[in-house]
Amino acid sequence: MNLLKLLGWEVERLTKPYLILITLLVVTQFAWLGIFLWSETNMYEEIRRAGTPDYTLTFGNYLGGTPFILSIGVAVASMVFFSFWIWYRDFQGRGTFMMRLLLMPQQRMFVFSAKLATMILMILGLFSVQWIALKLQYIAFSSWFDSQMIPMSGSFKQAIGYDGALAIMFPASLFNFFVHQALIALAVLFIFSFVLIERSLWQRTVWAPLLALLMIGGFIVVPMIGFFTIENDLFMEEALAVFTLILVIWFIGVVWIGHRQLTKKLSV
Amino acid sequence: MKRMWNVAALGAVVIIGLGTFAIDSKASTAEWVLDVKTNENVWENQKIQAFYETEDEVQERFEITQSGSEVTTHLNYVEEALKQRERVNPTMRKFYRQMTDLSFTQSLRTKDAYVGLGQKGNDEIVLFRTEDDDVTTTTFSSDVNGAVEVMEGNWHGIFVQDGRAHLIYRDGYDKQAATKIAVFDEGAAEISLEEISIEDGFISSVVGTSRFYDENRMTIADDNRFLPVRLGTYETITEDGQTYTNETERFGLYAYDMEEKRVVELKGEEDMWDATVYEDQLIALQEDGTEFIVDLKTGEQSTRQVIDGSVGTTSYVGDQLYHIRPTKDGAVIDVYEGGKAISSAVVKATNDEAKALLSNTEYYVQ
Repeated sequence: MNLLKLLGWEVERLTKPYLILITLLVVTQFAWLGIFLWSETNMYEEIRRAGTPDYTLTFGNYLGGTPFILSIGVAVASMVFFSFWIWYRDFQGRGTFMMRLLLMPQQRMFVFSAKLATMILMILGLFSVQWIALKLQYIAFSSWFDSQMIPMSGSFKQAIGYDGALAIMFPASLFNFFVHQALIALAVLFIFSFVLIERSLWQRTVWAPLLALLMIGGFIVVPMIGFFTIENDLFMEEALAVFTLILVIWFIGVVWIGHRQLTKKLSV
Repeated sequence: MKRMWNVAALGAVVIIGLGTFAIDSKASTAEWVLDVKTNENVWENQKIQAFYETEDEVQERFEITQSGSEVTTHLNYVEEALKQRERVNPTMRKFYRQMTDLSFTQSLRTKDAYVGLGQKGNDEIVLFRTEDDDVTTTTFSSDVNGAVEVMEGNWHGIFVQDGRAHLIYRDGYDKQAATKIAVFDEGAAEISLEEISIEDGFISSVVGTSRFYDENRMTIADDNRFLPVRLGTYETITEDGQTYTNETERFGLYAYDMEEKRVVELKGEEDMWDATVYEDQLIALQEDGTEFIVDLKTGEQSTRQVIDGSVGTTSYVGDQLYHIRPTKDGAVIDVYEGGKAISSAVVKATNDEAKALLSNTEYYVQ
């Protein structure tokens, strides 16, 4: 099986739960938008009847609502869960699927790459759906309040820029966006490494999850402690260079761990 | 083959979404130019900062020089880091690196050097200064007489006199606090303390002292008699039966007379438009366009008319006053030194994107 076929296979297996997740997110956000528009309009009408209303609405008021924040939280949690599940699902049952996968005549790292590419595509897909949904929500938001003659202020860009989570998810610079995606890919790789170490040890010890957690935890925490120790003495470009070096070491490290566990250590 | 449709569909969604995002995240393409009319030498190292801001839009900032303009907002991590590197010259990097390890650091610039003072925890006071391309440090440990009192005090600014660094600090709290000067003798590694009395208040800061990295620092001579300072005063507030002491800034221009060891008032509570200290002169621009000058060696005061008509945005760089007036196409900047106009330049928006920003753009010189 070549990489592309494996990728198609992985994506197909995750399509149903992924579509359910997207539907849930979109429905939650648009339902919240509907409730928000309705309740703000009613409140504004009441204030208008009593006197001259003295406040303007911004798109940020909608983005700061609990349902919206929760929907983002659920999406993030789901992606973390999928990153574990994409591996553990293949170890379920007798005559596990993973055994058949590993016995297939292809390089084992194709399995690793296909799962990684699937997760990255899924995450990018979520970002894209969210970006399109946000634009549609803003259009609905501004059109509705314009039609009701309720004053609103702030542009779409401004609302995104002022929201903490969205400003990180959608930074103003495209280069920074790709840097953030690389960091997300690294987080997925850390989860993959944890799973592969745990699956390599599970038949030998009941402490396999704890040992895997300690190994990956140590691999993350030790360089970070070193970085935070010297961070105060560094200028921005020096801190950026050191952090980039740490990222490169992490990337090489997790790929090497994945390769070693898959090719030599995995127990099925 | 059927499976690839899923991947293709997902890929299409990703491309559409990213495309939408990429359009929104486009950096501004507004372009400006600085056209110097007279005396180009004045503008050699000068940059104009243009700030565009409205209530509804994201702020955009531009840096304009004679060679063109560049956007300085929404830079990526690498551009941001390189821009910061550009701002600080190599000697100052060593100086500022000293500051990162210390708390309560304060620094100032004299004619020949930069001087800084900070403390490491509660263990030692570190005095550091630039010497040509190097930075030298002197440490005063907590064993040194007076060091502990200085470390526990509230620091309000430093100055250099007779080659020695001095620190103004408050010892104590609220109205009971005493304002003192600590003199650091680097040769003997000693600190001597002296109390100064200030009527109904305290020295809140020394003009020219900074706690941060600043590109445009005032140069203050180390043999002035008068030291420009800001004063604070105590205000008693009673609320819900409880009495609080509040500290507020006292308006006006003040200086500490080092010979008579007292604070003198240079100008009362009048509105100053802008002010600077350059070597041995305090120069303050008033609302009517006149400059009020104080000779910091003798205390002699004078005024001179500089700007005719209304005063726009101003800034001092060294002893040069930059006066900016917005126009239909950008701004006109006149430069004055010693009360006389020495140069003029025009900032112009050169493309439609920049022209669209003109009505809400402000300009500053650094």
